[in-house]
Amino acid sequence: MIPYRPARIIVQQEAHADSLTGEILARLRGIPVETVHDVDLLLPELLAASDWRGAGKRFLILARNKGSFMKPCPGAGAEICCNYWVINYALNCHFECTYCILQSFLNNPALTVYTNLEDLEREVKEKAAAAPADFFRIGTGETSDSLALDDITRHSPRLVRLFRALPNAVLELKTKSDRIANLRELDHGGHTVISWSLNPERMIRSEEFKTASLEERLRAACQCRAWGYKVGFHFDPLIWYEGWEDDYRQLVRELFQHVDPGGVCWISLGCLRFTHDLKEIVRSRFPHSRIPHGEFVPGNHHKLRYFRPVRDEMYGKMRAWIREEAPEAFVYLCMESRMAWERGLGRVPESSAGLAAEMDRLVDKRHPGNRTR
Amino acid sequence: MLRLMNIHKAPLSTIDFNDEAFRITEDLELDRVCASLQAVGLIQPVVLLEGLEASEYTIVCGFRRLHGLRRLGMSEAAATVLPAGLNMQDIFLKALWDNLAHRQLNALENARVLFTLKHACGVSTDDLVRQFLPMLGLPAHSNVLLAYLSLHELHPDLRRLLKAGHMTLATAERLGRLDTAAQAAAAGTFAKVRLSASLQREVLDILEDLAAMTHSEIAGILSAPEIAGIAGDLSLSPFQKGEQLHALLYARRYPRVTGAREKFQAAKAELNLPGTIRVSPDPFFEAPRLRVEFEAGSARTFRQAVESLQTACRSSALERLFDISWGRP
Repeated sequence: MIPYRPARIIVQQEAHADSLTGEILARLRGIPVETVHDVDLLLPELLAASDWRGAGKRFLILARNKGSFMKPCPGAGAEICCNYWVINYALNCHFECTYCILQSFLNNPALTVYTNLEDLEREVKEKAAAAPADFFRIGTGETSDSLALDDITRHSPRLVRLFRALPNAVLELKTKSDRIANLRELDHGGHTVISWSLNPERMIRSEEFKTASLEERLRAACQCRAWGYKVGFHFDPLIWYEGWEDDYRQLVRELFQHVDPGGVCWISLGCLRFTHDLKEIVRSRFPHSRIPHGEFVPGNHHKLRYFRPVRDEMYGKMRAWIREEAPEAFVYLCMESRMAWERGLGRVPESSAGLAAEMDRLVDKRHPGNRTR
Repeated sequence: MLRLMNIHKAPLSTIDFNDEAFRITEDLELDRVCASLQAVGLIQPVVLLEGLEASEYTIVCGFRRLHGLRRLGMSEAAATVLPAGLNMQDIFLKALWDNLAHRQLNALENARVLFTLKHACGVSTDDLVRQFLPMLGLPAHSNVLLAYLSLHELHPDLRRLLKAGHMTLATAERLGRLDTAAQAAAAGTFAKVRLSASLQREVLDILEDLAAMTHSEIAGILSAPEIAGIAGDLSLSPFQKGEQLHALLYARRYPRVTGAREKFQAAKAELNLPGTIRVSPDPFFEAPRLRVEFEAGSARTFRQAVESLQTACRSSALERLFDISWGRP
């Protein structure tokens, strides 16, 4: 993995009041720092480069989030959704995954880290306390990688401690990195799941630039298991190409050669999703990417998806390979239809709430089945 | 402020008709201007730039009028003459405002203006975006400038297709970014087929995809014998050719979707339903549902349609239709 090192740091004036700002600046000594009142005024400069999406990431913005940190996962619009929640403490990611949807919806290309973590912590506590009978599975990997910047931000220990104290919530840190050092010796109490997005090494090298190699990811997962964390894996996006079967079959084998199935909390499958805009961006930024070559058809929410029989085949084969290695593993589909569940996994949850309840039972310590774990 | 010289009678023989440095008008169609010149003569003097030798002039404003006069066999034209040595940008702005004062420029003319300002007058990209795009009624964005500059490089045959309305501006802009060989190949094909705006977009998407997927050139794809066969098929109308061209390219780009659709059509044909009954799957087989539609103008035709459907109910092809919709082999 290539670590993040910004070329310039922009601090929003108000963010200087937050202790996190000083901590981050201390860890990034030597990098030019500029303080501004309004980061939006920098946009013309950030958008001036020909590859502004790539160039903009060299700017690290430290700013306060004036809105809400926690919201339902946008996947909630799918026919079957796991009713996940997301908290966004950063916007953008220094990794360069060719297929990354952030390229098409972030209008500020800089990497922004929010500094008012106290507000985030307060909001999560309040929302969890307001619905004590509910269970919240909350991830931080929607608008950024959960751990890629952890050397700089050290968010993870604060969040792990926060969730340790919440009886009705579990945190999922989702990453393509191997930055796990800050998770060591934390009293997580089973309230944090560390998960990795996985792809064959061939795809990592050609489509997931700057990320950790497969070997690094799996070694990190092993280490987290040794520290007592439950781990999760997301085969998302599954990428179709000639010979995908051999690579993904081997990937599943490698995974369970490194990680004991009993420590795996959940595994998700999700075929590559795409938009017309993103296709143009990929063509222009990554002309050698094979991502746009799939047989995509228009689906819900203006997204392009692989032709359904292609998805059925990928889900069905992945499910079978996982079952061979880990018969008890909990496998689910992300943002898919009932039909895809039926054809791919051979079962359909009764509803989104039903799927959510199944997944809650895997991690809710109040559930009788989890108390002895 | 430009210093204007008096109105002269300029002999046409002293005007360099080949120098189009200040030309803005794309269409030099002369019939109407000749009719006007014959009816009322040259009402407004043209504007000429004096050459280094005072006996030679470059046209600044009035290309159509001067070409018209020449066609009519006239020997001279009333002209306002600008002195030699003036700044190129100042002179071009005079031509530009002369046009903008009484009409809206078309896309190719906008492209010509921006190209001239950039390359002949040396106007900076920033000034083109901020000052000149709004002057032309275009959004002040660098992508717009790039699109118009590429439009100016468009192959002459593609320019003709754009002017004739056989191609959308968006298509022309995309084609303008391709290399010369691809533009020439596209011009050769598009001259013989007609595509709706949406099909133009789709065909270009597919061509770009296929070129990237097969590491080949768009010119090579378009020169395939099957495509030449469609374009040259005299039994087809231009729109039918367009549909066949799209279908051929789509099948190459999306073989599995096309295969499923073909299988569906074959199974549907086995149901022997009359043409008045339409049976269609989900467009991309995303859901296993069929849509059945028919219209009846009388009780008799209604009964006939229902009887046809009842017969179809007993056919094993019906199961196959649903199997295909489910994606079962």
